[in-house]
Amino acid sequence: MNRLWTKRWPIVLAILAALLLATSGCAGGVRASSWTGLTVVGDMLYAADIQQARAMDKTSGETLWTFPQNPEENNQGQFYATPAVSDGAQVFFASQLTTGGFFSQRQSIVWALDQETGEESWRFEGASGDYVEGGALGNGLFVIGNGDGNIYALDTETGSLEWTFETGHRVWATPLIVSDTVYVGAMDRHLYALDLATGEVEWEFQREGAFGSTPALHDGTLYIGAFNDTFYAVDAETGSERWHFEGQDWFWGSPVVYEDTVFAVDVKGRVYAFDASSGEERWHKFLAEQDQPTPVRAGPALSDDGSQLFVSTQTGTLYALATADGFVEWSKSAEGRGLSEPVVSDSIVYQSLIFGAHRIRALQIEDGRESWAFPPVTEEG
Amino acid sequence: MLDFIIYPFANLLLLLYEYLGNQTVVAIAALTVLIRLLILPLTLSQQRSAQKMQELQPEIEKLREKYGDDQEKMAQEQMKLWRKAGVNPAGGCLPLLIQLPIMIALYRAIIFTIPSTPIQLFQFSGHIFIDEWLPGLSGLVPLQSTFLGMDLGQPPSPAQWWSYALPILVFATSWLQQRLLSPPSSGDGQSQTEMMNQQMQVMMPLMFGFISLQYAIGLSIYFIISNLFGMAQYYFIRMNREEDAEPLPQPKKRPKK
Repeated sequence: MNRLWTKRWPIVLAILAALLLATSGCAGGVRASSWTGLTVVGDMLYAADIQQARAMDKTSGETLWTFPQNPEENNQGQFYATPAVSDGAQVFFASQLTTGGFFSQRQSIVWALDQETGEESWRFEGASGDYVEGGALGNGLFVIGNGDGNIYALDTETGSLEWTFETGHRVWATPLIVSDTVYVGAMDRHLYALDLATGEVEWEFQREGAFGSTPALHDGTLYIGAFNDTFYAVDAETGSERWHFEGQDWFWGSPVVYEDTVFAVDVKGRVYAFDASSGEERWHKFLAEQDQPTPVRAGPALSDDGSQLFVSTQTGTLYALATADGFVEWSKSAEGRGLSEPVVSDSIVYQSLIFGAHRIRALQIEDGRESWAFPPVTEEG
Repeated sequence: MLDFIIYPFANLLLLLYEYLGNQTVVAIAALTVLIRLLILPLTLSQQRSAQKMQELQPEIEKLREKYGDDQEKMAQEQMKLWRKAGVNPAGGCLPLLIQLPIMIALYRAIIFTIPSTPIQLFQFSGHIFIDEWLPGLSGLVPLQSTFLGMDLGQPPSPAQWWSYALPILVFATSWLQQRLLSPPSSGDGQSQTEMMNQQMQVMMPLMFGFISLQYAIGLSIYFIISNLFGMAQYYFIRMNREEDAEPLPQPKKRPKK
């Protein structure tokens, strides 16, 4: 026994190491590494659906086309980033594809697809990190940040690279484009204002925490939270701070503004309403389940009339709060994690889920009744 | 599974990053040294055991000459000799077995603090407890991920071809460490001990090199610093042994026929 052990223990150790790595979640396998984004335009809902880009009828939930049609045969990577839809005929997705082997190269691809058919117009493969949140459109350019630390501006017609801007860390947030300026937060603790045409820096706003979200613009002021537990109001013209609010945890989700109130959520599930001009807290609501904080990654979404605020949580529950006082009007639980911003269109709120039986569900904003869910029937097995 | 060590490691990494000039590599190196100091009693006994085995090698050679044909008897006498000298031939496994979960926990701590995917970062956001004592540390996340143009949160890649130097360095330092801890060869390469040592000298460095190719570069930094620490520890023990020169028990002389 002893001899056998002494002879074979290096092999046993190697197997044990492989097993431990596998069980510790380090090993590969098909498991979502990010959250999936949705966009609703007109009657269409476009979804990054991990293995495919998907276009659906927003009313019925029927799939109209997918890209690629068969991911098993034509794997184009994993789609997470929120799609962007142009006024023309295109919809922009992004995916990342990792090939196996020791010398594997991660491929990150931006796809321009036909809105009606899902056919590829062009692709851009110049980035080396992951696309997380999505891109923004303006003046014929599609601007998107990447995990390799760069912001890429692509011509929407041809996909040619017009400019890049290098930050000091990953860029996981969707940029905001307003007239000739791109506003984008980066993990290097900067909020940048870049010239849309050239990518040159107009101003930069640096604080002691990473910026992981898209700023909201209202009356010349940008609103954005950071990982130093602080929420900022920044002059969009000059980049100077107007006010800040010191919270208790990271602000990761993108805020929303309605009239003179800014709504933001921190990662422990505290929903805040601030006075847009002064930063004064109007109310806050702590979303807790069984007295435990409910982690919230994504920012809230507003109903069209501004009376309701929808918050999707890590536990899969979608909350509808009254914007007036934070009162929880209804909540609907679901299997999986709701880490993306919900999307509201007309009388429906759409929630994207990962690790659950359904990946998208459409709920009535009035009472949370389910209109449809995708996939429609729980997949077995 | 290993959350009880992963999150403390990740928080400790934040603390070290804050106080060591906001340098991620320095923080990982410091954490590695702290871990090695923590498991020092285990690795010391492993290295002492290995050195004793080296010193017993001449006696084992004598036994081999005597019982060369009788493998069973040879193994019995060898075990007796080791037992008398206080050497456990499988004693080297325990520190390695303990290092494996530590290695995995450190890897997870690295990918939480320099995440390559947002889910990792979000998961960590709920476990930054050091912020309660030292406010502001949670704002350090994600740590600076670039070192010599390489992304510490990603595995080596052809786009950063020089990043492949790290798995090579991991293999080289692991091999050197294994070589230092292995008894000198008797020349024939046939004995059980030698076969084991030969397997060890190749298998373990290959395994660590393989892991370094597949996982975040930050883990390679841990392997390299850990191996260098192990080698320094070996020389330290050797110097002390030479000074104290404690004689090893000699096998009983068998009466001449």
